[in-house]
Amino acid sequence: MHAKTCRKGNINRVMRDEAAIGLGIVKAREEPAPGYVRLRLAFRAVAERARPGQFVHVYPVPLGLSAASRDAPVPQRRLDPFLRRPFSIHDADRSRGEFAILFKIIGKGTRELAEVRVGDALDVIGPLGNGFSAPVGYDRIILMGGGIGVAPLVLAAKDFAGSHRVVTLVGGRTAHDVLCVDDFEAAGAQVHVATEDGSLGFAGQVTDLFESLLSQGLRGVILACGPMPMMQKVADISQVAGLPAFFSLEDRFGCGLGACLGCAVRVVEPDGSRRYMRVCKEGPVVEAQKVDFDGT
Amino acid sequence: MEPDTSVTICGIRMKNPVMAASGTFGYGREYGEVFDLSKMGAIVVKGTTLKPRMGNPPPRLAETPCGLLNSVGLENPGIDVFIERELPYLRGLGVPVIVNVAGETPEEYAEVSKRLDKAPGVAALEVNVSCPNVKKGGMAFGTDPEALKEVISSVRRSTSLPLITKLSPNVSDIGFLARVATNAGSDAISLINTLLGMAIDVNTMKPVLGAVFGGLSGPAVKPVALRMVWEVSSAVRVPVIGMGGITSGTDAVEFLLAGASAVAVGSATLVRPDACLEVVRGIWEFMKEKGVMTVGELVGAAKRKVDSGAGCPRGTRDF
Repeated sequence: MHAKTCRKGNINRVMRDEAAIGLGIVKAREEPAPGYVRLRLAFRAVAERARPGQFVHVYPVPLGLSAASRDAPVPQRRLDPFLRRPFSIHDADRSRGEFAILFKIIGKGTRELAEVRVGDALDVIGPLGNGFSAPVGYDRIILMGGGIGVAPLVLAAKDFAGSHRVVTLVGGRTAHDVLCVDDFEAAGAQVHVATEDGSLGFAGQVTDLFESLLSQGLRGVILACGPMPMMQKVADISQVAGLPAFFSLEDRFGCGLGACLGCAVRVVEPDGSRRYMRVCKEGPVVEAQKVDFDGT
Repeated sequence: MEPDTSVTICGIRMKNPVMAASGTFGYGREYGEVFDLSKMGAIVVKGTTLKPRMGNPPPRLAETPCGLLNSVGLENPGIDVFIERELPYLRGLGVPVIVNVAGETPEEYAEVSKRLDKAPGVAALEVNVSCPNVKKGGMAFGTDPEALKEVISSVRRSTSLPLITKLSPNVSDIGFLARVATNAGSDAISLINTLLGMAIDVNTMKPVLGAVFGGLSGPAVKPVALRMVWEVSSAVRVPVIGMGGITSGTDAVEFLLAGASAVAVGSATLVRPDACLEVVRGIWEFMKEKGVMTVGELVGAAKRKVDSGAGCPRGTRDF
């Protein structure tokens, strides 16, 4: 698979803004917990360019083995499900030209995607979006993930471990929803776990654990991903603590390129005015204090 | 001899009959990073109003079987920002640029049109009387013959650019409204805009869309769109631009056979950024295979077959 400019739709090519469009070949599929699936895909142009916090836009039905052949015609796509699905880039092995996504089976698209087999070809555009910047001014990064929100944080832990101390807070409803602890530890991060039912680690929400650690003197730049109510709490707590925080927002996207205006989150501009921001193009990473939670 | 895909609509010469449909293509920039836009027939840009519009609260999208609902609500930066910041880029693409014009009053439509009349690089205006996602204006004009006549007449007086009226499918007699628009000075008709619909999340027991209602598009609406293109092209003599669920060359050929002189691709672009080019290729391949030399030979051909008494024989379509 080469990243080269080509007219045929079934050959991977690099777009002018450095994202690539083409086929990712499924190299591995595993279920880290029931209802969660991790796929490792070979697509060099995506893997090499991937930054933590960016996403790939994937048509959730595999195009079959024949589609991976260079000379095959553009494969017939199904009309249902209709849209692509965005997944944050969970991991990237740039030297092997592979990246991973991690998702929870929640609906029609993820149910289809969960059925892929090793060797299947998936239609992928990416990496898209802005991604997390390497935080400056702090030598510690606090990663905070609620449920499937840990997906983009694994690559952040790996990429920032060389320059920062990384503390990770992983939250889930039950022990079964606590994902990627091994991955964070392998990246050299210190890991704290919270479960709402108390079945593993701290008993309570990940934001309660966060407050408790702050009271013990934890400081750093916060990179967080999870459901909106959690994000709102993280925004409030980090503001009180005077710590910078950045979110990777979850949303349903249309085009994923910033053209259709289908994904919108209300943000507050420095002058106090409010507007809708395109999550896919201007995000998905956004400064916590910029999000207008009244508009979500 | 190779098939010639070029067409001329309202004096606008296009390399092929495939346009990007308004609202799915922004102002072109995002797709310009993905493929060569100069290969398209035309670009119809996002609906633009006099003043900036913030758009509707999220969620704005909901996938539905073979399509999607949207309630973006005409978010746009306003006509002056469009002319200053977006039009220079579009002008440089070498593709006819059609600007979708929207408003809340006939005067607003007229003022936007007047400003575009003086702006170089605009090939035509598409008058949006069919947006289902705004409280005032939009679809209200396209479903009321008196209001439609007033809007088109006032736009007609404010510009010498070719006018295309984009009609709403949320009416009972679309052919009649097409006649009202052409009698008021519209040079062409485009259809369909989205069908008003909604979705409900049974888990939250709430509507999925922040605006409650949204516009349905995608392959799910294609049969409705095709029937309406047939009706409108029978009702008026001006060119018809057909759209609604086109994802392939054969879909586009169906619209041409139903009487459209050109087509637009919308929702499919959200899935495949270069869907327009795939449709162009499909049309070309169809023409080549059938020995059709010009697009004009296809336009309305299905109607001529019915008119000539050929009836509706059992087709060869695969089941």
